[in-house]
Amino acid sequence: MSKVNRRQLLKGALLSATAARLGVTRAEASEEEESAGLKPELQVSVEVNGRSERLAVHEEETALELLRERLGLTGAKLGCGSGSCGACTVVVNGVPVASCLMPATALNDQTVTTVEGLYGEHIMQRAFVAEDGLQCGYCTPGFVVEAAAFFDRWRAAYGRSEPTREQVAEALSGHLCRCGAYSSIFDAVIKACRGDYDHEQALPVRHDAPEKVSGRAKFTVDVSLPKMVFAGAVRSNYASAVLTGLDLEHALSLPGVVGAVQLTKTGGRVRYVGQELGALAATSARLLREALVMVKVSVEVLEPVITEEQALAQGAPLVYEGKRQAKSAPSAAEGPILGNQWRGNLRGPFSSSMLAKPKRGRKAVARAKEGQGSYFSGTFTTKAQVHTSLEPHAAVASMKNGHLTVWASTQSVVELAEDLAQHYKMPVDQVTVIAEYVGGGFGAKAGMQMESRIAVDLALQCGRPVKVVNSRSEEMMVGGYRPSSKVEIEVATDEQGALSGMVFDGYNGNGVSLGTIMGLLARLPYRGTERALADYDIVTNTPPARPFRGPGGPPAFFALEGAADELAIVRGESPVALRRRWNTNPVRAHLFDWVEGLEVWQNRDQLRSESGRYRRGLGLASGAWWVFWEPSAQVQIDASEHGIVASTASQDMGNGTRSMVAYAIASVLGVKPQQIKVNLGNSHWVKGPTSSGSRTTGSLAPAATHAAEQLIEALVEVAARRGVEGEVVPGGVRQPQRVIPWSELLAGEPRITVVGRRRPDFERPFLPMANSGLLIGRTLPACLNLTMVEVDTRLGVVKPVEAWVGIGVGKIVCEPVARSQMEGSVIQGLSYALYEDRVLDPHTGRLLSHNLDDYRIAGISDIPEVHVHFEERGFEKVRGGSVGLGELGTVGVAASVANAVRHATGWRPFNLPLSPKTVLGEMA
Amino acid sequence: MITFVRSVEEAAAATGTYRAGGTDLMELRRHGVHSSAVLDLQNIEGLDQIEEVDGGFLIGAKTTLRQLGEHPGVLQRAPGVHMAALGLATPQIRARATLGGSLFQQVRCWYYRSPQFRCAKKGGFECLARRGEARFHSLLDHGRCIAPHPSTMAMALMAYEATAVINGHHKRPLAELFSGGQQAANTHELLPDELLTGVFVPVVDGEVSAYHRTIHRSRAEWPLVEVCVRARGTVKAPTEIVVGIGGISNRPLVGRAVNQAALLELCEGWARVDLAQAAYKAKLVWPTVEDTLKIAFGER
Repeated sequence: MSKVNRRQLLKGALLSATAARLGVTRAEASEEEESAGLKPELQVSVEVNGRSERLAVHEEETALELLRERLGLTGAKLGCGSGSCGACTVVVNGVPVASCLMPATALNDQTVTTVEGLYGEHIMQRAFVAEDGLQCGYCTPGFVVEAAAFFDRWRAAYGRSEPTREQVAEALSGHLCRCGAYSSIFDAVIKACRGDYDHEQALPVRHDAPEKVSGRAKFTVDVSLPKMVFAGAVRSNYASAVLTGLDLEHALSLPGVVGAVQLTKTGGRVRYVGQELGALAATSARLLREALVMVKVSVEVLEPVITEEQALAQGAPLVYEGKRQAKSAPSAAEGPILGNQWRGNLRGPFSSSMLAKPKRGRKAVARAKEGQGSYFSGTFTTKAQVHTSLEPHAAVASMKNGHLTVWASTQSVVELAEDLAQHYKMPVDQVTVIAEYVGGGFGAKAGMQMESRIAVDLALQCGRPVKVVNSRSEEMMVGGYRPSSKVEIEVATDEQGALSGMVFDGYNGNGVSLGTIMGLLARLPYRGTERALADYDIVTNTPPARPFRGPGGPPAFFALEGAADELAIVRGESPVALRRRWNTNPVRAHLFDWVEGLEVWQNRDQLRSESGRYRRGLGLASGAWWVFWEPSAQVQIDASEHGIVASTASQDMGNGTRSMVAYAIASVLGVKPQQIKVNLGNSHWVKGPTSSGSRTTGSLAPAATHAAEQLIEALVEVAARRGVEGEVVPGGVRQPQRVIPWSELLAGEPRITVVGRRRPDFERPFLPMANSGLLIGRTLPACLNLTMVEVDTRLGVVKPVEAWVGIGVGKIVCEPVARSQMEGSVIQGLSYALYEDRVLDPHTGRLLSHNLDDYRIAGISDIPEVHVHFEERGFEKVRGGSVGLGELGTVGVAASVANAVRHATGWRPFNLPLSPKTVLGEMA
Repeated sequence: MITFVRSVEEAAAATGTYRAGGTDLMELRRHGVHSSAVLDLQNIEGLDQIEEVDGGFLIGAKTTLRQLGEHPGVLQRAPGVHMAALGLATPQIRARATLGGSLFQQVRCWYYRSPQFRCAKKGGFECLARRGEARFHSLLDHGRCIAPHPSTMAMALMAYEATAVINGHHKRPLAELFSGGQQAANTHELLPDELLTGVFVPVVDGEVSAYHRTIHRSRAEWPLVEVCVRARGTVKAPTEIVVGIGGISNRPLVGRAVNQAALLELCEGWARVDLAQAAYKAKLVWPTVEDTLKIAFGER
């Protein structure tokens, strides 16, 4: 048993020896702590990655903080702080533990191995790289450390035998991956155990995988600068109030506090719990935490509206007193906010007659209701889904010689730099935004958000670098969510089963934000009918919803595709037959052929049993999404004898932008993608797209191709100058004896720089979006989701058994990464359909599901095998022949689950998620 | 203030919340829910072994759940305890969490665990879940706090009729420590001058046992309903049944039944709906007991 000796540390020899090991910045911070009378006072001796360390720690410090902050080992990450996500996992005395819950003092006399201590050389690390067992990489060090420990135990006990999926799932059950890279994680672990990677050093699929599996990838939360201080928001505890006072002077007198700003003005409205009233900067994260709860805030509390029912009640207090106040409302849409009619807290309808014919839609539905054809009506509801990126919103700001540098966990380095320049009235070339690695985004991290503002405000005030990192509970509270929804839908067919009319009224529970659109999506998969589509926002005193992967899509298709299935049942035909008749998209027609060719689909009726506890069923759903691209997107290539480097001011939040750009260039040059280095995540590269709306591939792949074509032209000139003439072939220039590779032509030449642009499609765009620099493509992609479930009718538990997704987005640029995106789309969709439910206290509006135990996302044990099918035909008129797929794959998943449950049990689910409470309560 | 006590006597005499592995307390402190004095037990030697003794096991209070889950003797002779230890939390938590900490951990209530609420357990006037959101809370109302008792191990060990060893020598039936529910700040009735040093688990040959929880996802989730059973006979005609149940009440419940019919009756009593938001749990009581029984008899 170890001993910890509590004793005062003398200033002097021991501390400075420690400081020398810790580096300059930490030494300075600890001096400030000492001047505040809060010096570390406990001594710990610990062996970390083979080195003996003797450290002074604070009594409330965690083992994770000791490793990250005192030793600079930032591989292990803080994910949830509750031991639920596993991102902080390190090995102590041979056993993986959750270091966020382990006292630093408990490390005394222990031996620790972190991901850095595996040196990128563990067989399991090779396997993760080769099998692409990751996306954003934030949870990866935790998974890798746990999987490596599992491997070592397994190899010792069972040699090179293969573990089952169940055994792997049990071993990794303490880890969460929000991107949903679980399928490849299974592959990596199983194949490593059976010996596939004992010798082989396979090439990485994902360009940044080696950095991510070794813990070398530095995310924003890992950034540490000399003299850096720590900032966080003072948040409202009340859902509706007027701020009457915020005592910044008192705040500045608190221990360690060096800066304070006000973010809601005195006399200003507070509209939700968590609203930023002000922010403080302090010399350590701990002093910041302690100071934030001491701040004196006074408010006049008003009666809030928390639920949508409360918001719509007669005489309900208004969230926005008038249209003028509503102008400040944040947007929950990725585009502009459309329409502006209000009745109390209800905004809408937004219903464009250009896109829909409300009166004729209602008439067609009424005719069918009277017996001419088939008719279905239903009300479908869904709950708020929290983005839950494992890297929270985070920013580090530094102002040096008039130049502002902001490291941010962002989906848009360019947009953020532009927003910062505008907000702080600086020339945009004096602002740099850096986001080399981004730990997930899913829509919630676009543009300038509060963490960046707080960091910059306080960096300007303090004259020191400032770091802001949301805690998990802040992230769950104000980090963004997909709105809850209610859809009232009526769908009619004529007597031949053609889609004849639709009424779709969508109500979005956006909190204080506006503009989610479901109705427009409901016209995407099946065109050309009479329909009345309307969207409403119900505003409440709850935090703002943000765009979330396919905004509006999952609830829209849950309703529409549920209605389609019911009409197929009423008409006694197959779900494919009915949808084929409704479909006008040739890409989707190919996908119907694919589904009908699947054995599991042909045998679907043999799956079912009429009785018994466990019932299986198969559900189909269409998903649809638009095509966006940025005409200003560019890719620069710098080629020299040192290699070929591509750069663009876009970012990779796990979606695989780096690999996609490299593959696009490599396929033009005829070289291995791994030979191309790709620089992203810096706003100073040539302009790249924001990562949202599935625009990245459609914007960047053609620009990369264009750049590569120009590079070949330049190299052909070089060849000509050297008297080499011949046909350009993959890899170089053909000569009678051999192919002269590009690298040989580059040798001794000055650097060649070319910039590729995203040239227009071969057809007119459908619609340019106002002011956003976005174009909407005319050729539409298509997706079909097919899910098999097993319903335990006694416990009300729905388990996905197997899933298929067929997607038509044209030519696949980088197959492994595209496949991973599709698997992740399906897994996130399953998680939404089955588990996710943000819960607020109905009286105060305070968040109840504030951790990853009470907010449930799918773990590795919950996901089935996912089969991905790419349909590549149909995009001949699109430049480059490829469009994006991140959103399309997820929007139909929940609908396919509900349709599978209907197939299995005969019961139609109308409310998500399908928890035991819902299923047992509603299934007859 | 955290004091690193050196002996059982020092710990028992001092005032504060005991900390062993720290997995629960670290979270509560970091999130501003617990701020009073802590007595860290890491400098106390021993208390971390499982001894096979006459008629059962003597398990040190600082034994980790991982040790319990890996012990071949426990697996063989007390499978219900083994399965309970392995069925809770995650491998990285079980590696650190101790038996003692697992028994005396705090409730999982989302009102209790949020610093934004002051419920009766934190010195407030009322249980906020009663008029708020309580879908994961209790089915049965035993007054005041309606959070389900959080300790899987308490429930399972009570089903085993275990004995608590206190301050190294004094013995009390474990059930005595958990009879009152969450009437005060704690989830147990250990006195301030008492430190749990071990638990004696009696085992009887010739019976079967199992632990099982019903959860929504597949793993790593707090139970909706959880059950530990010991029985003889056959799966169709079980006899001498002892069944513990958790997830439905603010204290672990244990009942006895002589046969299947009596067991059904016992479960019907537990499946009464006092608290409407958790009504679905009433439908889970019997299926969970039945599933656990099947596991005990090797039928699942």
